[in-house]
Amino acid sequence: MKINIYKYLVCSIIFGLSAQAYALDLAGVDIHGFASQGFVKTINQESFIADNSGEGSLNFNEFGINFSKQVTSDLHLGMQLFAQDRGNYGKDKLSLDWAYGDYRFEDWLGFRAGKIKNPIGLYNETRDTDSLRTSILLPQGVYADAQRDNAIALTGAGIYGAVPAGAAGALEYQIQVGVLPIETDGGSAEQMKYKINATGVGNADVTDAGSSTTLLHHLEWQPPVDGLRLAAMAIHTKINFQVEDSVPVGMVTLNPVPPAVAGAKAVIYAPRITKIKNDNLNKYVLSAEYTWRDLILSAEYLRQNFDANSTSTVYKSVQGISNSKTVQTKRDSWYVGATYRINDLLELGTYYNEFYGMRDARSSHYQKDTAFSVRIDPMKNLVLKLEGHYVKGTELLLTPFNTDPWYIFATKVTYSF
Amino acid sequence: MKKRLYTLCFMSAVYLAMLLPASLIFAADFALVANKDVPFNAVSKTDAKAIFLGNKTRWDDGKPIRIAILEGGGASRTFLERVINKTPSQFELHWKKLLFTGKAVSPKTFDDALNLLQFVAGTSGAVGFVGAEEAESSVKKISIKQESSK
Repeated sequence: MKINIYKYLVCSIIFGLSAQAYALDLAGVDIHGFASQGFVKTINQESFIADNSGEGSLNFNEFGINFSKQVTSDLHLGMQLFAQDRGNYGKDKLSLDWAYGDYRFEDWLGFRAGKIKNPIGLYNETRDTDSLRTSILLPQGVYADAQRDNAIALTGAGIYGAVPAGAAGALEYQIQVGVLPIETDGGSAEQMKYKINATGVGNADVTDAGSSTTLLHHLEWQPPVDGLRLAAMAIHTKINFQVEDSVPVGMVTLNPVPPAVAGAKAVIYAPRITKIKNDNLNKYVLSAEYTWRDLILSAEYLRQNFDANSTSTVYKSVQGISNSKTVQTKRDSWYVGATYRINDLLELGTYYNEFYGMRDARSSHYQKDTAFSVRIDPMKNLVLKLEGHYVKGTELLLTPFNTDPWYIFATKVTYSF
Repeated sequence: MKKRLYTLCFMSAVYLAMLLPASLIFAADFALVANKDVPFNAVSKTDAKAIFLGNKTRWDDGKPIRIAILEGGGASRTFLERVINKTPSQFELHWKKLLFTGKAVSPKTFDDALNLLQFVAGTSGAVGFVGAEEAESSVKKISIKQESSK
């Protein structure tokens, strides 16, 4: 009930305020927002993006509202509240999406502190706002929806700037240091719960999640070719989770006291604590985007390495019994895409994305996705979208059916101001 | 039968309008205008682009730049496509990306040139664009060096 109150509060604010103006300015505070409701249906798979997509799901939405104020010509402050639903995570719980102060000393040097969006690839910073792109789903190999909470922002500080490079064009840079505010009930935690439940009795609960100090650096070059931008980015971190559940450790004979049957046995369960550490996590993304009139071409390549270390301790006695293992994980993904705006009303888009969960075993750990999107802008601030996907492989799924190919159909309506 | 024919004609017209490339719908010239206290009479195309994309926020003498955006109309489309290298929808998306990530506050937007000119004339460091024939004496005309007349 509390969840629904949040959801409808945000909706009311968005629609109530936006009815008054295109962009609101209350006492110098700039207010913008969006409300996005989708429907997703998978064919030959039960669960992707929303946990009940196989039967068709409306657990596919985002809401946000932000407030910004230019305090002086050099300083501005802002924050955004955000909620989303994906069925088994999100659940329209209101969260602080970003909130930071931004002081620009010069155009080539600015300073930000607070909870800051991470510039991973071309679209990570804007991934929550459906109206800012043509497709409904971003290429999942690079922008995995369930991993949003460990990629979207960091709490810390950073510097940024835009530097003219004369005949070579212009450069923009961002360097950020902080921690990733990973939620214990977010998409990443849900994936950890699933993995632990596969070896326990199914009562796993994520009790802790976080990261070490994280360094992110991003460089964008706009060469002297109109419409072209090239970017490179790297993030270095360690991510950890603690998951608690129970495991069966033996059998005990029940006392012959009614109503138990004499000689009957019962399973004995012991608590288990599993600590998962993704050490030495390094993610790199190379990006290129070319705009020619109403045509936008884009391509990105992601490479990610980490050591997945897992230590489970079963507390069968006072002294816990532990076992530990480390698996080196090497992933990569790439996509090419194109969008074309036919006129003010209609835009078409397509992309082809390949993801490999193990670069050393590509033939058995892949997911290949071909997507086609239609975006319709029937009036200012309102966007309707339709999208179809043809997918081979199930590497990004937690609970895959071994059916190949499989399909995603999605539609979404978004109001923003 | 007649009603059906009208409906068919109407729907055909709608479909044709949908297929008409947006870039063919304009043809107008523009003028870059600034407050009279801006101590420059010309800017490079690179600087003009950086200003209207929010990357250059100060004039070279350190004075803050206040940009004014004219929404709709041929002059606006021509300026955005020739100088900023973005269509109006791409330009709007660019600013929305900044707004929804907290990297900027909204620039001033205007539906008509008269209000924009009043804002530019009355705001220190302001710069905007209007149709070439709409620029008036209350503001300073700024020329765009080199690539501007492509």
